[in-house]
Amino acid sequence: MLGKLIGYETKAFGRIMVPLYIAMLAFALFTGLSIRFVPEDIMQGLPGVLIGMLYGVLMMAIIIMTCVLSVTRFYKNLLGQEGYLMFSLPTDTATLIVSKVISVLIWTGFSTIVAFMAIALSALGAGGIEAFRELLHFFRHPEILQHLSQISGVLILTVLMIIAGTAASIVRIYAGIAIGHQFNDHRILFSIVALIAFNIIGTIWSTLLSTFGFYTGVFESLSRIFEADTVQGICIAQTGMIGVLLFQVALFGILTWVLLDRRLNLE
Amino acid sequence: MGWNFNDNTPIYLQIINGLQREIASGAYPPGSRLASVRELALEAGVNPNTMQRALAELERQGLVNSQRTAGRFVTEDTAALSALRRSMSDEIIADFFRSMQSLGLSNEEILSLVQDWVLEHSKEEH
Amino acid sequence: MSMLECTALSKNYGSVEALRSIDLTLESGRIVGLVGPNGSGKTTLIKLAQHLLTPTSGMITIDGMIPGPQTKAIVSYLPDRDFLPQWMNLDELMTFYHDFFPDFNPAKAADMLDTLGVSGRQPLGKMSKGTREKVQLIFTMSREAKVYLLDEPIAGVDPATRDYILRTILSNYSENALVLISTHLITDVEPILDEVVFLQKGTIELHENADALRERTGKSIDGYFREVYRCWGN
Repeated sequence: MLGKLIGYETKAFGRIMVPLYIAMLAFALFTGLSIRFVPEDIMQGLPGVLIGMLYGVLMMAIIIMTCVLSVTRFYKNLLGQEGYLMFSLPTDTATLIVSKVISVLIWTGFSTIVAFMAIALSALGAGGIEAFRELLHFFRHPEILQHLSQISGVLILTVLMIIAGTAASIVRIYAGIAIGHQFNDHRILFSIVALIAFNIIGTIWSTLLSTFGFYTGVFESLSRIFEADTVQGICIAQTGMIGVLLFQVALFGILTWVLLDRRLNLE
Repeated sequence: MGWNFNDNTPIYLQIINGLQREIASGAYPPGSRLASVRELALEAGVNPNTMQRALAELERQGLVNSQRTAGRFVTEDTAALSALRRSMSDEIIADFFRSMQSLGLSNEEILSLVQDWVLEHSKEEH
Repeated sequence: MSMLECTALSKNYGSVEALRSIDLTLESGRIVGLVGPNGSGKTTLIKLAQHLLTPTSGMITIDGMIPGPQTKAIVSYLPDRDFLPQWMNLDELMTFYHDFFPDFNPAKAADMLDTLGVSGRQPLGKMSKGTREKVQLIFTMSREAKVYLLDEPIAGVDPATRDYILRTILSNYSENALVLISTHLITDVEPILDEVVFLQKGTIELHENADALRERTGKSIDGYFREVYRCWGN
């Protein structure tokens, strides 16, 4: 059921995102080619400015649409009129929520990849195949490779941290929306209030923790581990961060689940 | 949708009456196969359970036979059919007489009026 | 066999009591009218049966189970609003229903959509309100479910559409299923009901066989309730 739900989310996201991706990639290539073939004096004039602006607008559109869809797919599909259908599927509330979170992660990933591909494509267009070859050559350099392999653990953990961070922020938004949804009017307003409250509570909590850490000397002993500035130290810190983020995912996830499963209030 | 029902009698009684009329008039000829309960219910625009109940009553009255696999058939028993026609026409006549009597006519007057009416209209027909 | 059962079922919205300790048993193979004025608790009861709401106290079961994924697999629910994704076209909806509801009969749906004369490529959002309502009913009735929960299926429709809807319900519900139709328009559904449950201010005023009620009161169900409403001052 989870797979089917994600597949259906993919359709809903893809309907809007895929055309944007195609436009972005095509335009990135066009930008690169114009940098290469159009005389410089023209590119420095209005056409160049327009191309640059459109490039930026498309990039922003992808980022904004990814964020907007991440929120509206939850808000409209589960808590709007379509909620009557979604909550009538023979599945449980947790599966519905998890499918939304995973879909957001997948499409955030796609959007990131497309953004990088767009930059690569425009570079390829501007510099031709030569530029690409040089880039590859750079990465093949033995020293670089060695460095990369040394910090591969850090890289992988960074990626995991970004994923956990994205998940934590999206689930937090879902929890905020779920709270706003408890009210019969001004739901969006109350959702925003809930999110602000989360932030305030989070700040108070971390202030308390750091004060506690400072006075009890926990920080000092922790910092001794990192002082060595070894890759291992960084890895430990990152793993800790991932742990904290996953805890947030669980906390806000459970809050969302309770509100949607026990206190659903469809319009 | 379907048949028209009046408000104050149970629907299954009205269905029974309706089906009896169809059988008496020969709209459903003797020995003919009736549609399935569901189809009949749909045609009348009623609940299949109600139709089932009406058909069971018709079976009990011997107007319809049910054969387990083949479905339901209108009876070929001519005696039962004429008894049905008889009882239905009795009802109509009784109604008619009640209405005429309410106009202050005696039975004899009514009968002679009926005779006149028949004579007049048979002339028209020829 | 009892298919839907409520035991001392109550639901409050804040301080408002929408349902007050209801006891109700509905058998399979029946078409039941859930009637009563607006705000009497009809929709609340249906939502509780579908786990869109949770009881404040008491219990509701479907086929012996607390509402959840297992009951949703055997319940086909028609809410009183546009609940299908408006951006989907009919072909996509067919795939959706086929994917998520194991009891969905695509041939039946295709057949009815064909008769209705709508094309598979058309998105739901582009159809007229009347057509959309028919499409929603077609999808609901194309499931071979054990329970159909139909919330106000004939509210605000013209007589021809009403006939279409009632006919579609009658000719498609699976045998031995329980069909629960909520409505405040009793006359229109009267001939197709086995039983009638009358809700008033969150309590069941009456639960009786439809024909028995007509026989007992010598009135149509609608006529009877009109009279009773007046007594209760609505």
